[in-house]
Amino acid sequence: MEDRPLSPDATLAERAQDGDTGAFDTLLRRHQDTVYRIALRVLGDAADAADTAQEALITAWRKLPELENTAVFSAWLYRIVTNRALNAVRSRIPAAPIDEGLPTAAPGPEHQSMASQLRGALTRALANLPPGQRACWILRELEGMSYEEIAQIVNATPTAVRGRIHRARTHLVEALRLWR
Amino acid sequence: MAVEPTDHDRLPCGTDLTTLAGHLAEGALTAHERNCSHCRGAVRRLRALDSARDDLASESVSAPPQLLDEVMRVVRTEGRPGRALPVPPEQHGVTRVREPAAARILRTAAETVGGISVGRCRISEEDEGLSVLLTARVETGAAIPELAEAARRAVRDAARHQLGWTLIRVDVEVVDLS
Repeated sequence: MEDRPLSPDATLAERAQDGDTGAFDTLLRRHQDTVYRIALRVLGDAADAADTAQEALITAWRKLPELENTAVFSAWLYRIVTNRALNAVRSRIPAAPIDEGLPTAAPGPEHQSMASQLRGALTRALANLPPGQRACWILRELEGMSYEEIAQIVNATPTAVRGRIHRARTHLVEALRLWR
Repeated sequence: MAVEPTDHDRLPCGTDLTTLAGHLAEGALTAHERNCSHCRGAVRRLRALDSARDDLASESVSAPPQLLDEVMRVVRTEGRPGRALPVPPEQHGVTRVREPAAARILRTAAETVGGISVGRCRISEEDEGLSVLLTARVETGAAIPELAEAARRAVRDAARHQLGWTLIRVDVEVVDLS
């Protein structure tokens, strides 16, 4: 895929700052899946996630020259997509909260495995979390990031991040009680 | 229902949910936590949450195939044209090379040395001529003076042969080790 030996993100980001579109292409290949996944988990909708990921990546190209410390490129990129996804969520017309007690239709609960029912319940419960909590929980529990990394991404202190994740978990545990 | 964050972290028996989750993760539930019906219910729900989370996290989610192409189309169209730098001679017309293209030539030249990867390549127009600043990462244990000198020579040669430039200075800034 790459015509050079594996270069660190920081080197590629610096080249992309200078206008090397090939370097940016390589960075995209490395990070596009995570960018899309964050958007998808926060937004809960594939089409919205694709739009948000695309806007975030184009924004990254335009804003990249302003990034001084290229060593934090990935955190910077994930921050852009997280913020865009959160903005998109917040600008949605508020819908009635999803009933967490009921599994969604489709194949019918009796044909779904226990695991997929549980996963469905979790997805619905996530959709009802306040967006800030949802983003922190996703970055920690699904993307496996540290509190410090998440703090950089959501622009909060690690302590605040810890608090949000804690509240998110309390809510989710509660929601799964309803599901039972 | 349940849109508000639920802040009652304490179970009716007085056990704190975070403490319980910690004990569960460490496999160190106390006697009370193992026997109390409130705690056991909470443990069941925590386990259900963990297993649903593992299930969701293990789902393979990739970016849609067209995402990269759509973004790169915009990126290539916009580019960062940079300055158009003149290349001698100028007898029967003018030749100019855009900054990103020139930078690429010089970066590639520096990297032929081996053991060095080049990030930024900034070309400056000074009174006496053009100068270049490279940011570089070098292999751990590399002899930086020799490496930088070799890279400098390669950059000067490429500038002369491929761009017709005599660089007045090539600065190398080693920013990290790889």
